[in-house]
Amino acid sequence: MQHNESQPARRTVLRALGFGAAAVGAAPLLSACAGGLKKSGQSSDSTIRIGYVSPRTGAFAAFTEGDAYILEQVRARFGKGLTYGGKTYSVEILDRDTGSDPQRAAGIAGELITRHNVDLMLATTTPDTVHPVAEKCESEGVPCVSTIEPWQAFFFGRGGSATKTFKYTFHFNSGIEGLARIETDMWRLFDTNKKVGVLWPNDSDGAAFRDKTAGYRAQTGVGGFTIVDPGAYENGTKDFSSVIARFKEEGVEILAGVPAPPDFSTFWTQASQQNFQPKVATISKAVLFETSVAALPNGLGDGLCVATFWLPAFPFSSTITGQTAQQLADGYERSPLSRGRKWNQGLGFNHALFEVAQSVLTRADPKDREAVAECLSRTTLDTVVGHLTWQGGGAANPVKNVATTAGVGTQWVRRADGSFELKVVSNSLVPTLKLDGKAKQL
Amino acid sequence: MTWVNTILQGLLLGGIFAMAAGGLSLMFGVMRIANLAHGDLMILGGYAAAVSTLHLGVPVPLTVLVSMAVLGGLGYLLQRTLLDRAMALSELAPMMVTFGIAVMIPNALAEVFSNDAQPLNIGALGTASIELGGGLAIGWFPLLTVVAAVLVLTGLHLFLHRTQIGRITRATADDPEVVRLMGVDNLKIYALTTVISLVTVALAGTLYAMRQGGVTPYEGQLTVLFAFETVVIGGLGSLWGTLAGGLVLGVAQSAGAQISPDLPLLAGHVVFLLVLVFRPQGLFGRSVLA
Repeated sequence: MQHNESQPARRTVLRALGFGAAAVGAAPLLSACAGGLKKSGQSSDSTIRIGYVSPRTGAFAAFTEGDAYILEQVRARFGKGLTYGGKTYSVEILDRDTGSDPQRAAGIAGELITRHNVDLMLATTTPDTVHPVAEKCESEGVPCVSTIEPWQAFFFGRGGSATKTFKYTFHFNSGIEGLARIETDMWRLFDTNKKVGVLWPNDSDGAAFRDKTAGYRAQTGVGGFTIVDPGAYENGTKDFSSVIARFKEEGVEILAGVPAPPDFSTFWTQASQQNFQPKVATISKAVLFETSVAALPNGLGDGLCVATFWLPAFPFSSTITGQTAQQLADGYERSPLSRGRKWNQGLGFNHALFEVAQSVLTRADPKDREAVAECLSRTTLDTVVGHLTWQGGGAANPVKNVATTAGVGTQWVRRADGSFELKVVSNSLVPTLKLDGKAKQL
Repeated sequence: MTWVNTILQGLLLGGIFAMAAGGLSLMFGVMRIANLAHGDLMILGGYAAAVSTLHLGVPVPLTVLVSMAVLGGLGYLLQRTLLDRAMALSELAPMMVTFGIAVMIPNALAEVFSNDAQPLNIGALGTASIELGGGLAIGWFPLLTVVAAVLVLTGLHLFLHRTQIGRITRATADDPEVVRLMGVDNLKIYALTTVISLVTVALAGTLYAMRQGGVTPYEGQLTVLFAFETVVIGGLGSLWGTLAGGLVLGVAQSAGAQISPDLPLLAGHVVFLLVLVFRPQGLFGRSVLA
């Protein structure tokens, strides 16, 4: 208990230092965050507990394939402990699988908070995991960082607004505006009649895209195009003939949307059977992974475009391991923990969660939840997925709790042996990444 | 012309539903087991086909036989080890067992093969179509699926009505106690029924995987709903009813989609409810398999 008594004094000193650093405009990376003096939400032992909640199994498991590798690396690094204010804390990471089930995610979050008393929560992949965990954290006053969900869904989907922001829950990810920017960039690479047929299903993603004020059509850059929206089809639809007929009728030359993978497979096969052939197709979600592209019948995946938010060629590196994006991906693929599988975007994003964790836990008193949350809101960090900042507003920090990431336009190109490679075809948001060539028409 | 296309595509869609529902209809007709794992077993059939060509180099057209053999064998084990015992416990127990299987299959598949699609590529056949003029085109593969569904259901019908063992099966469905008095081991008949049912499920699953170009673990769950609707619309225990039920459901969904893309599933469910309300025995239904 001795160190407990001396803590406020030390924190006061550090706070003073922190203010001083901010005053002279020192690099924000090095500035310590101020610790609050409130006793609430504090625990006093010398082990930092980090909860990591992810869907390791179930429908969204593809995004967390890299978890075993990420955790091994991070545990090795955090094994040396994290130091704040001259005191080194040992670190325990409690990783839990939600099975892609929101109820289970809520239960796990509750258990991590009440039983294990975690100091920081990390959550990843889709509203099904992120929302229940973030809700629990917000109500229990535990700082939480999350990713892999469009930020609009994270913020507005949980009731955030211009006047209502969150105190404990923070998020980094691209959003609809970034996606629309990247996709419209790719549309402009082709000479078309600017008619865009969209597949926006009757689910949360489809609704977010369709939304009149914050959705796809409201984004700058979409203005010059005519959106042909046949309506919100149900996931699991087995016959898209009426949608295809509508697209043909309207002379659609551009296809876009967020269909689920099996639905896109159904749609795209039928489109081919019924002679609907757009010039360019930018598809989110359904063609993120090479395996889903390769599984489309008869090589139909060739030439499909997708916005990509992390790939090994990204000119960024990790603040935990020092690896470049390329080295992280290579390291993963070589590791037995990858079980022979290739990198995917989840690897970079989930790794970056721990980068943010390392940053805040060494800049704010890890045992003071309010201080950590407050620190998160003033964090700026160059991670393996790029520049993240939760301060300063603008496109990088559109609302208090959100830091956005950038992406590029990519196209799947079929190699002679039937495998597919992802080529960068537009890079306006990450201009330092060089193009792999010109996009080809479908 | 739009509506001609709608009905045509709806019929093709119905073929898929009928194909998927055949085995379900048979198992329910003979044993009164509502097999909730039906859709997931179908996906398992798709996996058996995809994996046999990916890892064992079986030519794609023959994968359907591998899948049938694997699921047929599995059906035998399933019936003998689990379902027979469950049937002895209570009416509801077999359904709970199939529910458990429905949870286990996709998770086991994801654990072993990951969530990645396992490709089953049939090349140009997957996208080939027949032009009918006037902007109408029907895919070869959906057409083949309808033909397969008709053949399977006809085959099952002939088996049940024209063979000795088929007659015994129908008798077992009517009254297992009396059949046993006649010296027939009803458990053997049950095992045979499950094997046949799962062989048709394997065919349906393989055709499904070929149609989609591949298969992922969690796709079976909606399929089982459509299969149940098909069986109920057509009439429980009637194989011709199953075919008709599939076509009705297909056209209903297709017509719903023509009105608005958010309507197909609802239109299908509405037709299903209307049948339940106005003709609870289904279009061709009788109370027992005949």
